[in-house]
Amino acid sequence: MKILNNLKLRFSENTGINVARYILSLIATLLIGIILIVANNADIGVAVRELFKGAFGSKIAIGNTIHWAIPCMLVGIAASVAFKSGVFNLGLEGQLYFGALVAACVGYMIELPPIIHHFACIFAGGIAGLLYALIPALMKLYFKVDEVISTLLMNYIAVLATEYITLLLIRGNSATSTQSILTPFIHKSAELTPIIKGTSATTGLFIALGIILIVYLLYKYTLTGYEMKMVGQNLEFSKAGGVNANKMFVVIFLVSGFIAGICGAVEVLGVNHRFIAQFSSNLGWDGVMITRVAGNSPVGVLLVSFIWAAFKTGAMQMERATTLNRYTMNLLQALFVLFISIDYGMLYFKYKAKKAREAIGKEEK
Amino acid sequence: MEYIRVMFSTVTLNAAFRMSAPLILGIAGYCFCRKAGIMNIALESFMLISAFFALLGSYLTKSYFVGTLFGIAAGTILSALYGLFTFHLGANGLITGVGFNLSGWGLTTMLLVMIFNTRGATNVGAVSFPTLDLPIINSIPFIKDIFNNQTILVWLAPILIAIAYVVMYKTTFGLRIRALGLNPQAAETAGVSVVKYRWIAMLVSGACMGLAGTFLSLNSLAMFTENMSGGRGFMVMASTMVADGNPLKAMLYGLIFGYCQALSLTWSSLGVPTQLIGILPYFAVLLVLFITNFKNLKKYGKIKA
Repeated sequence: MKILNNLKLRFSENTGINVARYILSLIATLLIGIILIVANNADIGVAVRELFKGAFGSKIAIGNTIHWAIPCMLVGIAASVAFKSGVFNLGLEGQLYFGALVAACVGYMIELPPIIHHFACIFAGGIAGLLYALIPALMKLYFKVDEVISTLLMNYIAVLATEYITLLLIRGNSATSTQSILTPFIHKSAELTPIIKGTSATTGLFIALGIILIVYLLYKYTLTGYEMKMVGQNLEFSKAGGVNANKMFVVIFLVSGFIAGICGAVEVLGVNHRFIAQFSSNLGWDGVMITRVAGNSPVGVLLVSFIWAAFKTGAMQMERATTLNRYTMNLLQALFVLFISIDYGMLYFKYKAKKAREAIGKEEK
Repeated sequence: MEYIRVMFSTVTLNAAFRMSAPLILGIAGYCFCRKAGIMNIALESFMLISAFFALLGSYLTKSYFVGTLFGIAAGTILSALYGLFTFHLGANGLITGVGFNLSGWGLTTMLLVMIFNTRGATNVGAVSFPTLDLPIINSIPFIKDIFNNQTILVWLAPILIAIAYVVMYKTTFGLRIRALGLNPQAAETAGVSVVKYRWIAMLVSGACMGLAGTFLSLNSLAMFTENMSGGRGFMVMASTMVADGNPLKAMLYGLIFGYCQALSLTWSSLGVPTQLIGILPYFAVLLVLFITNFKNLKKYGKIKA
C-alpha cells in the first residue's frame, strides 16, 4: 500500500512539473513579448487583439490558419518520429525541398486521373524525401559520420540543388533572380481542393490528420512502434531485448524523411501548385520546435501545430495593424522552445534536496 | 582550361585566405569546446547575432574597434546563455542549439527591420576594417597579391590558432581541458573542476565566434543581410570535429572550406550557375567527413542511435 502511495505521489509530482514547465515557459515568453511590444511603442491590447483577429477573426483567417497547420502537422510528426527514438534528423528542411520538387515534377509532367494523380505526387514526394534521408542514415551506419552535422549541411545543399534542378528543367525561359526560378504549374488533376473557399486550406488537412493517426496507432498498438519508442527511452535495454538497433535507426530515419517529403509535396499540391525555389521559410525547423513543445507525442503535435499556425497567420495581421513586425513572433516562438527545454524536474529535485540538507543541518544544531 | 587556371590564380587564393578567416577564427575557440567534450550547434547563431551587433556598434559609434567589442561581447554573452541552459538548467544541447539558431534568425531580422527598416543593410554608415598594406611583403611578386590588402582580422586568424595550439598542448590549462574531455570522472577525481573548465572553454569559443561574426559584417564592406552566416558556424563545427580538436589540423580544414567558397566566387564569374557552385563548400565538408570516417567501415555494427 505504501508503494502504491509513493507511486501516486511520484506520478502527481511529475505531472505537476510538466504543467509547471508549460506555465513557467509561457510566463517567461509573455514577459519578453511584453518588453518587445513596449520597446516598439505598440499597444499591448491592440497587438493581442490583432493577433487573434488574424488567426481566427474571419472565415478567411481560419482558412489561413488551417493552411499553415497542414505543413506544421506533417513536418512536426516527421520530427517527432525521429526525436522520440533519439534520432536527430535535423535535415527535415532538405528532405522537404526534395519532396516538393519531385511532387511538382510528377504533377506537371504526367497526366493522370485526379485521385490517382494526388497519390502519385504525394508518394513520389515522400520517396524523394526518403532517399535524401537515406544518405545521412547510411553515412552514419557504415562510416559513423555524425548525423547531426551531415543533415545540417545537407539542408543547404538541398536548397541550392533543387534550385539548380529547377533551372535545368525550365531551361529556355531565362531566369535571373531567385524569385522567378519556378517550375510550370501542375495539372488541375493534381491540385488539392480547398475545403474553405478562397484560402489554401485544402484536403491536405485530411492527409496530415491521417498520417498523425497512423503514427499514433503505430506507437500504441504495434510491436514496431513499441520498439521504436524503447530505442529512444533506453537503448541498452532494447538491445538486450533483441531489438536490432542499426535496422531501427535506418527505419526511423527513413520514415521521418518520408513524412517530411510528403509535407513538401502537400505544400506544392495545395498551396503553390508549383515548385518555387527557396519557398520554405524554415518550415523544417518549425517541425523540430513543434515536436519539442509537444513532448514528441502525436496528439501533442496536432494541438501545437494549430497554435503554431495561428501565430503564423496572426503575426501577419499584427504586422499590418501595429508597428511590430512578424519576426517578433518568430523570436518569441523560438524562445518559448528554449524555456520549454529546461529540465524543470531536475531543478525541482535539486531544490528539494537542498532544502532537505538545510533541514538536517538545522536539526544537528 | 580556364577553370583550372582560375583555381590557382592569385584572385582565388587571395579570396581563399580572406574567406577562411571567419572559419579559422571560430575554430580557434571551438577547439577547446571539442576537446572538453561539448558539442554546440548554436555556433551558427553566435556568429549571426554577433555579426549584427558588430555592425550596430560600428554604426552607432562610427568606429570599427567598438564594433569589434560589440561583436565579441555578443558572442560571449550568447555562449554564457548557452552554457547556462546546457550546464545548469539541464536542457538538451541539440534542442537548445536549434532554439538558439532560430532565435538568432528571428532576433537579427527583427532588429534589422526595426533599426534599419530593411531586410539587408548595406551602406548604412557603419565603418569597416581598413586593409593593411605590409611593405615587407610588397617586394615578393606572387605572395604580395595573395596576402596584401587584407584586414587585420584576416591576419588575426592564424595568430589565434597558434596561441590556441600552444595553450592546448603546452600549458596545464590545455592538459586539463584535454583530460576532462577524455574522462570527466577521472579529471574530477584528480581535482579538476569539470564545470569550471567547461565554462572557460564555452566562453572562449563564444568570444572567438564573436570575432568571426565581426568579420562577416565588418570586413571590407560593412553590411548585414538576413541569415548571412549561411552555415559557416556548422562548417566551423565540422572542421573541428574532423580534426578532433587539434587547432592546426582544424585550420587546415578551415582553409580547404574557405578555398571552396573562394572558388565558388571566382568560378561564378566564368558563367557557371551560382546554385551549382554554391553547393561546393558544403559538399566539400561532407566529402571530408566521408573520407576521414572511411576507416570506420570495417568496425560498423555498433552505433548509438
